Amino acid sequence: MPIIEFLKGLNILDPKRVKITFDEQENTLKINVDGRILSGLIPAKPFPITYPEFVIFRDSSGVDVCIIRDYRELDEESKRSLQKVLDKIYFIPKIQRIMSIETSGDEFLWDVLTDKGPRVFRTRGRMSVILMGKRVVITDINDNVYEIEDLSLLDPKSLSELEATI
Amino acid sequence: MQIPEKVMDLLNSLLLNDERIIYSVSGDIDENSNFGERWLFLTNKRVIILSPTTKSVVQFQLNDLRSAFIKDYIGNSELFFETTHGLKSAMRFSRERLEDLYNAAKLIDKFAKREIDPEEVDSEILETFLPKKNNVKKTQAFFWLISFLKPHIHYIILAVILSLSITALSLTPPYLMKILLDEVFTNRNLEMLTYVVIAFIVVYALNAILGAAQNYTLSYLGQKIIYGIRVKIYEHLQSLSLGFYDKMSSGRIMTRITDDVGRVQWFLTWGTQTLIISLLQIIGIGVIIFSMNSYLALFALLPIPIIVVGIPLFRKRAHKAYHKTWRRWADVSSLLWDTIPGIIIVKAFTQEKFELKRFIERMTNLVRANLRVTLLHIKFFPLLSFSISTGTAIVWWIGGQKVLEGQITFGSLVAFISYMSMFYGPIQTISNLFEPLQSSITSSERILEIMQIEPEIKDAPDAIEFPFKGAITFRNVSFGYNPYIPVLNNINLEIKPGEKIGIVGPSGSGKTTLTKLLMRFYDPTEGAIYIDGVDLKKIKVRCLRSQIGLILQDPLLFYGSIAYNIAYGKQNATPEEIIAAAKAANLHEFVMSQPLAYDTNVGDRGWRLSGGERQRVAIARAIITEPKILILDEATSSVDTLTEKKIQEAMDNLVKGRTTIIIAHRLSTLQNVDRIVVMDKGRIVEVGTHEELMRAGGLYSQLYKAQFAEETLINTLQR
Repeated sequence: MPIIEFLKGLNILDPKRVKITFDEQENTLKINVDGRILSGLIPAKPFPITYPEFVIFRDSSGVDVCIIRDYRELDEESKRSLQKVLDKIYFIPKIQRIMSIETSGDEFLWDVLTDKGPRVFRTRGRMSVILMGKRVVITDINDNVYEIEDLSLLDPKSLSELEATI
Repeated sequence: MQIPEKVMDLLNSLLLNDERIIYSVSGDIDENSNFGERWLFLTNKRVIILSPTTKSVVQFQLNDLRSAFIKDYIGNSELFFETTHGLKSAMRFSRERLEDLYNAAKLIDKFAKREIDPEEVDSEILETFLPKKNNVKKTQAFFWLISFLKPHIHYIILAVILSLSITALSLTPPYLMKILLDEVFTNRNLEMLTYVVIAFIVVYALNAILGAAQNYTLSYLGQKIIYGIRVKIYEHLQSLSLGFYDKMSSGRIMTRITDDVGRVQWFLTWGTQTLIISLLQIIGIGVIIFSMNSYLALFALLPIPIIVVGIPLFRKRAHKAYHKTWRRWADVSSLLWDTIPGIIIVKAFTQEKFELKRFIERMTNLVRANLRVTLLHIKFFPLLSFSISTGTAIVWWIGGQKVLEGQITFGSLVAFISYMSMFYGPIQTISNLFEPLQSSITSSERILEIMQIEPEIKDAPDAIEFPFKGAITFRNVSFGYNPYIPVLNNINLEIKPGEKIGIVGPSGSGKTTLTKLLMRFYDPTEGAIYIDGVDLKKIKVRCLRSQIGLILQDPLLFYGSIAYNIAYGKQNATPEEIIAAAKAANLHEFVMSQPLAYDTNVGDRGWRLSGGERQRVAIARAIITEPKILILDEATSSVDTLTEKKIQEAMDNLVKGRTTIIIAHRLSTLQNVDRIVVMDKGRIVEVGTHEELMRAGGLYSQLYKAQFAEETLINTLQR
């Protein structure tokens, strides 16, 4: 079967024609597409690292309902409603400063300051730190995820600490 | 091939008037089964086989021949002719000659079967039967290496200037010492002492700075060169055909890029520099000591023969000894590699004591080998330093007398002895350089050996590109990985666009080989394959392979995310295409259950995923490229029944509207195919639908019944 058949089934929505509201009671999202209401939706990011703006909306049983390719193109209110839910599901603190990275055995011990406060964590193995252009995504030994949004914005001390170890 | 004169003489005495030689090939076992020269000549009338040493001649009239073939044994092979008088052995030869004789047999066979007329054979026909020429050009490894230095000539000049400066600087301290002893201390000259000390500091400071600069320049140069060589080799490796990878193990190829390139780098940078510096030092110091006192200098030369002869001798022995320790260490580590991952077997068979005993044995051997190396060092180096010290003592003795006699100053003697000790260093260095120099040249030869191999599968100049409809034709296709051991024999098969074909047969029947030829990983030795009526050889390789999807039994994934692996065949795939492909492959739900979803890393070769998950990633990877033709090679055989259902659904999505070739061991997975092709020993033995083949009662029905019985038994046991 040609892939186009499956592409059609994805139900990709135009963010300009969509209104998203947060349903406090259900703790889910409601999407209004040209007057048609899709409710009870939970967002998920299929590419939390490479395309964090890409969102799939799924119903309570985990069935995909629709997709928004770039949720940043939503109107402000919709974006806020969505962001609120996403922030809870995807707790990815942004590293703002690196105090130290120490090596012990095959692990790294990171002491960092994030936008969610100071944090000490351990990473192991080369797949724990993924470099993507200027972004760095770090997964610790408990599968918590941290992110350095832009290496070029890091202060020189943090950068040299990072470069010396990674 | 050059035919020796005595062979020509013997042959000429046998040739008839209108007889001409068409083809010749030599063997290496004579008619008495001993190693010896033997020649086979094919003329327009006969096959003449003669031994120049024993003068034995065997002849076969072409008219009497029915076929020619080779039987391959252990350590030797035999050429047979089927004649009107029965089967005749023509000649034997070692396997070294196998390929050439195989070509000869093929040509004679064509003559025997009247497919080629001996009177009309031309050079174009003969070309295909001629012994393969070795396509390795004997370019000097050295010049090839030098070509990598050329772009960095300015760095090389800088490095040489730095080296010269360092050498010159290193010659000054003994001279300063002479001034110190003769001028400063003798005349109690405090002012001069200050100057000399400052000069010392300046010399040492400059030495440190220039040393650092030289170090950086050489490392930079080394990295640049190694980068160039490695990229060149890797690029070349990517262009080579699968045939190359069959002949050479992955380990050996990787060693070329890692170890061999490393050794070459060392030679190109540090090796040549050390050589130049040492030579300059020897010349510089030699000139100084001879101009200071040529009489004393002659005594200084005394230990040199011991250094020059002794060090290479020592290195030769040490090389063997080190090699031995390396092998002993490999013994230990192979035991560890066996027993630690395989500890469950050791424990299950309660062989812990046995394994410990084996380990102790190997460790004892390792310790012994290491001690041998130590002993070798102990035997040689004290002797070397003793002979050098003796030389110095002699100079002290003779020079001391000269100082006492007032012929030279004490400062001159001290300076002389300092220079003398500096003289032996570079001689030792050069003696030490011989072996690594040799090994880096060997390494560069090994690298060149790969670089000069040409890809066997290349685009023809007139190769075309077009979108496939999906019709496949195999016409008289024969093939062997070794040309003399055929794996496929005269395959003829027509597949319509969109048709689903199952291929079954015992292992080794040539099923996978057939698909490898379709992907053009290899070219058939005879016959041709067509897609939509166009010969594969006339289709651009890129166009061909990008329209064929291949899914193997144990799909190989690469280190990276699931998304990366799905999009491997279509690097510019959009995120929604990746999701669509994963949905088609029944993989999406699994991926979304992972914390990083499509960004989840699959680990090296995909080890973090189960067999079934890997298989579905492979299906998604094939779907995303929208291939017109699909090859599924035992794609469901390594997964359990439950996952197989998911895979089967994925497969159903995949095959819709595509020409599909399914190789299956489990015949029950072939229920939805249009036709089944049954292969045995490299031939197609049956073609038809399941029902037709069952009715025919041939190999397929036997295989099916045997498997059905087996599966019923397993099911009963499982219940």
